[in-house]
Amino acid sequence: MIVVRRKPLESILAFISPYRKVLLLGCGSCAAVCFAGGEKETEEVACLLPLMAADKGIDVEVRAATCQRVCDWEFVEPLLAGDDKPEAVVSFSCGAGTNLLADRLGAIRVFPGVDTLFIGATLEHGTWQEMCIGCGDCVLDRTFGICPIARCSKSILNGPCGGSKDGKCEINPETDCGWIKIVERAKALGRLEDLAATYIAPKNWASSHHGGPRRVKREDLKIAKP
Amino acid sequence: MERPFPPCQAACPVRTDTREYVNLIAWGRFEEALQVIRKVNPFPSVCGRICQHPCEAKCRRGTLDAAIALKELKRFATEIETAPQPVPERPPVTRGTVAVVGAGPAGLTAAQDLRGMGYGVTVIERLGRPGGMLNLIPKYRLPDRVLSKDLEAIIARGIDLRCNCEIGRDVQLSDLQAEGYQAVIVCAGLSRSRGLALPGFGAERFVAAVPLMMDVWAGNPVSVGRKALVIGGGNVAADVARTLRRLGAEQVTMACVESRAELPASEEEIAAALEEGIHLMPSWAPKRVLKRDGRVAGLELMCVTRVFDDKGRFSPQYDPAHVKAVAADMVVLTIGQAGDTSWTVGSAVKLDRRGRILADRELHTTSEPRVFLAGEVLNGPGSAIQAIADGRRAAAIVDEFLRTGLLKTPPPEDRAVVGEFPKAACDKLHRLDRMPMRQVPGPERVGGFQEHDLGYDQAAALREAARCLNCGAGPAIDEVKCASCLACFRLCPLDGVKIQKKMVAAPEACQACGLCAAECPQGAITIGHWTGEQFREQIDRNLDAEPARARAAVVLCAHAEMSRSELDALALRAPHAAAVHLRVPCVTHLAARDLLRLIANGIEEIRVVLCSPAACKHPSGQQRARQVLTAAVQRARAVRPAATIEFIEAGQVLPANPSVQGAPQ
Repeated sequence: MIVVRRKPLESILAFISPYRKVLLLGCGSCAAVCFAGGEKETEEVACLLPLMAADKGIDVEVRAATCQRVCDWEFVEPLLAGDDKPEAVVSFSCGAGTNLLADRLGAIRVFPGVDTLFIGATLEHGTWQEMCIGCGDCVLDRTFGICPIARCSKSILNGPCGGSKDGKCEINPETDCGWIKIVERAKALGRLEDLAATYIAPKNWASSHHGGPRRVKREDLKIAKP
Repeated sequence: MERPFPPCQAACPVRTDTREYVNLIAWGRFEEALQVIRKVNPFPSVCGRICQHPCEAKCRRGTLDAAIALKELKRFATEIETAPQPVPERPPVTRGTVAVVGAGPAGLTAAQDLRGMGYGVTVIERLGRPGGMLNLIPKYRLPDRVLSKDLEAIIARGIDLRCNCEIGRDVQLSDLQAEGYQAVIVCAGLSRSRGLALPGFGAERFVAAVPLMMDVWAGNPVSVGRKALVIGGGNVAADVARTLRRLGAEQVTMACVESRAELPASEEEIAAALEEGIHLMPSWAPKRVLKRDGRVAGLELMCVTRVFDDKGRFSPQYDPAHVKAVAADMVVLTIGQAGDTSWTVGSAVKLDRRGRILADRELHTTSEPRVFLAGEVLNGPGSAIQAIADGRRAAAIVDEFLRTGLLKTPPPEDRAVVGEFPKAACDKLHRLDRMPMRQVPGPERVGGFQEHDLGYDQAAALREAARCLNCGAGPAIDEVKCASCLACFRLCPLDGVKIQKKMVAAPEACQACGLCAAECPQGAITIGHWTGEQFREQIDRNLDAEPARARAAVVLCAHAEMSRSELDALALRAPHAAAVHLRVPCVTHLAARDLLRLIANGIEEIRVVLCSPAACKHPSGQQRARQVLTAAVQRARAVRPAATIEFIEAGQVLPANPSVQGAPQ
């Protein structure tokens, strides 16, 4: 899941202050799962934002709506049909949805209602952790399923480094050392020797974002409508 | 999504929406509770007194501590009504006419239903007033005014009632047919006591139950003697025995073939009889009547060794060597009743070899076209609520037949039923004592026919209704909106949600606390009827009505032991007087969004009144609600720094009610 965190109300108000009619667009997928941009969170903002606006003398009409996934245009389109169009949309989806809106919405201004943080997993209700950075060249086969890029603060491919202490990282003592986790996992599986024998060569970062925006295109899935 | 039936509703022959009326009582919405009952039952007041309440036997709270007192709550709903009942609708007669024979529960239900469908309905009744055998239920169980209330409401629907008119005597079946009725439904009941060919039968003061009880009902003088013996172990026998005590018999014995465990009378009736000093003689069968000077002097009884055979059929066996003589100056035979079939003479309605009317039990038809049966005359002895259900069924069949010419049984109202509580869930649930009902003590009540069960007062009814586990009202999950975030699954303290690719409700473990719905980030969960929109509507309604009040709000958990009148009293008190009042089914239903909606409407001071933890059935839910709602108000302080939330336990604002005996303090 893509984990997002709601932006402060002040920031959202600053974005929309030049506009009179604003749609707060919630996303019923990842942003809902991490309790930052689903229907209820979006409605909470719709409750509080007009109060803050009124205090500052800003006259704005706010409406909230949520669709299944903002990153699929077909879900969004019906919410923007009709003549009563907003002047601005605040998207509570991850950046993917917000980008798609900007691509499609023409004269309507688009703002992010959340900060898109990472690809992560739920540790417990209310706690999410980054697990993957989407580098495009997965090495999890050699690191026993634990990612050295996402979970080592230094993203080193052959660790741990000298800054690991009592299983924690020197960058942030609250962060588990990713490489210690890899070692412990190998040990638990009885494959520590495999790890010792493995040298991971420098990655080709061109498959990551450094080669520009990536795209997956499957010709076999292409639809040719009659 | 169609929710499963709660077991109480499934057990009710008319499928009363028990959970709904109990919850409405818990909400203080008493008139609406009565409407829910009336929707399927034209005898709510009667059933609130004498229903055998199969619902209670199935109540899942019974496996936890004690079943909800459903009969008493029904009675409360029928008695608390203060607003005048709406004048019943009298639709124009558009569909022809039907005659109903017998104004008992089956006949009057069929009559009311058909009248409601647009038929002209005439009811003929052999007694001087409607009610049938309900009239013979002793007044200490079913006071006249209570029975009259239901009867009057039914008749007021525009039913043509002809009393003192007995079929086969005052009017013949052929007369009714000649009058042009398109169908006749005979609901004549079982009006005759069964006899027993005992040696000595016919002695003076050896009497049958029905004529005796008819005399008592009619106010005729009844001489009972000092020692009475009642033969029979059913509810009628208990009624007779208890009536005899009130008529002056000092020593009353009930002797029956069944063992103590097999007694057909309800446990409540037996308990009441024992409290009134009635002596039970289970497993004793009458052998002969002892006479002195032509009058009853006692009864010789023989020991019963077995009542039912291996296949469960009634086939008593005796030990003739083990006999006992019991002195009595009166013996009453209450071993069952039979129908009077004399009205069939001269008609095409045929009888079977045993003298019973030949009929199709499914279709209610007889061998005479357009003549139908319903109630005990068709099914044999049963409860009032079974008769009501049967009358309803007959009305539906007759309507279908008259409209289409087809004989069809009504579609069954069957749905899945919520199953047993899983042990793990059961162990986590809060135990709440059943509220005791006020009663006149046994020795005092035998002095007269005054009603001895005094029902619940408002405080007791509110508490009792709040014990309902809400079986089957749990999460209805909107699959489209559900993000599968797992919050409901992780949060539910009872494992009331399961993962089956998506989130699905597990109704067995659920008591519809609403925590999942409050937490759901997508608003995808409905609990009972609660979607959260009702809260928004209440805010709008209150602010439209009294915008000046809109600085503070009191949000009441509807289970916070408060009725509307108590709420009104609370509303007059400072500081609540200057607040808008809102109700939620339970504080656990309240989402952060709901409170922020209040704040968005200019309300900064929020007080939430909830149950005292000892009275609350969702104690862990209260804790969660406090956590989530406090956090929501803290978030709102970014915009409204003065926003506050305070939680008040109901016990702090309401005095304990001293009128309820044994009420938990």
